[in-house]
Amino acid sequence: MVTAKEKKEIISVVMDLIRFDTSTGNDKTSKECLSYVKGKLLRNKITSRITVVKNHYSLLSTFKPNTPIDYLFVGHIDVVPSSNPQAYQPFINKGKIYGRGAIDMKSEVGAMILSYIQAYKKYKKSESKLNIGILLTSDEEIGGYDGLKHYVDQNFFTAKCVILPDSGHADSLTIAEKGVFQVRLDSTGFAAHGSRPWQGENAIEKLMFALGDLKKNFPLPKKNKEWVASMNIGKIEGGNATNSVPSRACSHLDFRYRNDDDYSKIIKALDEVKKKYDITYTIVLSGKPVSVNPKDEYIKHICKIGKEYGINFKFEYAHGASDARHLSNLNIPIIMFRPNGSEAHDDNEWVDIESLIQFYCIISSFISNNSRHIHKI
Amino acid sequence: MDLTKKLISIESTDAHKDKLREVIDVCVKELEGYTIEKFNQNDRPSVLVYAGKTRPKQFDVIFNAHLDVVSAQEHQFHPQEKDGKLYGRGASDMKGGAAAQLLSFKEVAKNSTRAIGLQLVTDEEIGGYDGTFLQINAGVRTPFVVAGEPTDFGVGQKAKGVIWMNVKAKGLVAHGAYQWRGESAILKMKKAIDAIEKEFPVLEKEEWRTTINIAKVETSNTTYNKVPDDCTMKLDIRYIPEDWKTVKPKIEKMFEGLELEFLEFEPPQVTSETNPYFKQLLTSIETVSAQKANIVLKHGASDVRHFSRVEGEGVEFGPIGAGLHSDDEWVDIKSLSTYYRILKKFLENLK
Repeated sequence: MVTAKEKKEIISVVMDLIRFDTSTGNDKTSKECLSYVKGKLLRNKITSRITVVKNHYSLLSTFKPNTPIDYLFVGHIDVVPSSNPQAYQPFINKGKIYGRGAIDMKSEVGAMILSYIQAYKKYKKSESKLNIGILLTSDEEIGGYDGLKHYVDQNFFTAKCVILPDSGHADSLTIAEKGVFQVRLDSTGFAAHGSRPWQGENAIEKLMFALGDLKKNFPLPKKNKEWVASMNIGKIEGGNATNSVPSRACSHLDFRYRNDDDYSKIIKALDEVKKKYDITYTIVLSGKPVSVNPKDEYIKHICKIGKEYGINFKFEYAHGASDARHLSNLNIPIIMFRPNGSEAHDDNEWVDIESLIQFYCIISSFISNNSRHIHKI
Repeated sequence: MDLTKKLISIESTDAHKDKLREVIDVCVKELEGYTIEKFNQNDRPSVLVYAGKTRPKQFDVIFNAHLDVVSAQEHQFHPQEKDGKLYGRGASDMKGGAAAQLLSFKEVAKNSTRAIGLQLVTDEEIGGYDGTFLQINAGVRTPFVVAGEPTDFGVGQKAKGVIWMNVKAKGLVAHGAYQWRGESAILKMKKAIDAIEKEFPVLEKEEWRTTINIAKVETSNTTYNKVPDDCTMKLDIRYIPEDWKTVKPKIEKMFEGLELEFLEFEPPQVTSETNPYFKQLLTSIETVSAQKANIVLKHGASDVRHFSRVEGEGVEFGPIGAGLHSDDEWVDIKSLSTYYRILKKFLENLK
């Protein structure tokens, strides 16, 4: 169990992290925030390295360098900008910490930092042989390309299990996340005077026909339980002068898909409208779906530890994507759950303190496990 | 031709107010000896030109020419001659016609016993309120106006009315992966567009019917993964005089539940067949071209419609050309001189 001192420290670290306005674009503040973490680790005699890729800073620390990592904590310190400047002044009310990033995901990051430090103390006392690591990035909200994806692409680490508490709930583990596929559609017609539309070809109309066809293939999901591929039309734009037939129009589409079959269906549908309406499409972003085998030994193990804390973990499917998608090619189990909190990105973001402490206990217990059956995997 | 080229080379779009002044100045310079009455509203200059010292209460005939053009590619402001055609922005709509109107007026008006006026304006493409409309409000009247818009020598006796409007849809923002938590304004708009396709299908060829052009569509959202909560569509509706009374209720029914904003609601234009000047124009056309004058129905509105508010009639009548508002606009060079001769004949016959 956790001591009163530990609990106090967790709360204090989380509130410290929230005070850094690490909104997308504030890269300097992200660097300061990571330096704060580096200092905290150093006071516990742990070394870490801050690296930068295209202005985006990341911090990596492991017990042993250049050795496969048994458990890797992964988190991001960046947050979505808030219109309310008070959002970066955390406060506690009725057992909750309020502030930008409280649930997405500064409290999880704080808990992981302290869990990491505790594990290091054990490691130094030679109670554990486990190599544990922590990787904190600062560009998840804008795609994670310079953070987690960069680390994966450059083979900067090998891990047996990753803990990435950026989805799931206090009592449920995310075992699948949809893939994301964003495309831009461009339609071209002929300009003509608006009074003689038959002399031109209206690019907006062509585009709308194409969107209609696509919509038929990807009908609007009505509720959370509908685990299907979906399409969102984020933007349509076309036309200029009121009295002209528009010759250009474009649209931004965001597809969410479950698996390779869905992916093929998307491509097929896009190719069909491309041919039928002479429309072009450009892929803007493509991120694979994530799936974790619920029968994996690590998953079984976290469920067992959950039970010790009175939690019967359920499994859930997430419609949204996270940085976890960058790990999907590695085929390693990813532990995805997080404490109770608000829906992310609103102006009253909060995390429940008791749930946060419980989260801390579960991950700490989880990474201290060195039983042989897990290591055989 | 020289004057037409000179006019084309001036980029007289509404975005360049100094060029509007310049294009008027170039014309005024040509009209020495005539009275030039200057008008200006919202930085859009126009002139009324006539032979006498004071403006007549009512002109017998007014030639109406607009010297503004819609935006174009840079090269279109450098006129090019090729295969008997003159290419450039405004060649057809309507700097070619304007030059011919100006020159025929200049030749005849001074020696005519009739009151002939020339209106040069710079805001036809954006509605004509700061030019023709302003002058009408200042008391300019005529039973017959000839707007030199491109008609391929047809006489535009009827013109459609115009409605410009915004259709706005509102929705509810949500993350694009969780669409059921929101409501897409774009999908609502899609339904409105489907209704247009059903009620006013795209015409394959020219027909005397009411048309709707979807001129613009946009949303304030720029993020791929967001369900957009607003979407605005701009429509350019051209309705035949026969639909004058029914068009608005039909539109309101079609877009039920959406916010409608009427930006322009312009009347259609009809000239009676018994108008003596109308008959005279037909005769002049037949005399000069040795062909029967062709009565046409115009899909686009012109500044002539402003006169219908004060019971003035008029027609659109212009030379052969094509590609108005497009990247490939031209006027037939030979037709330009024929046009000049017809206008001259018409004015001379008024004596």
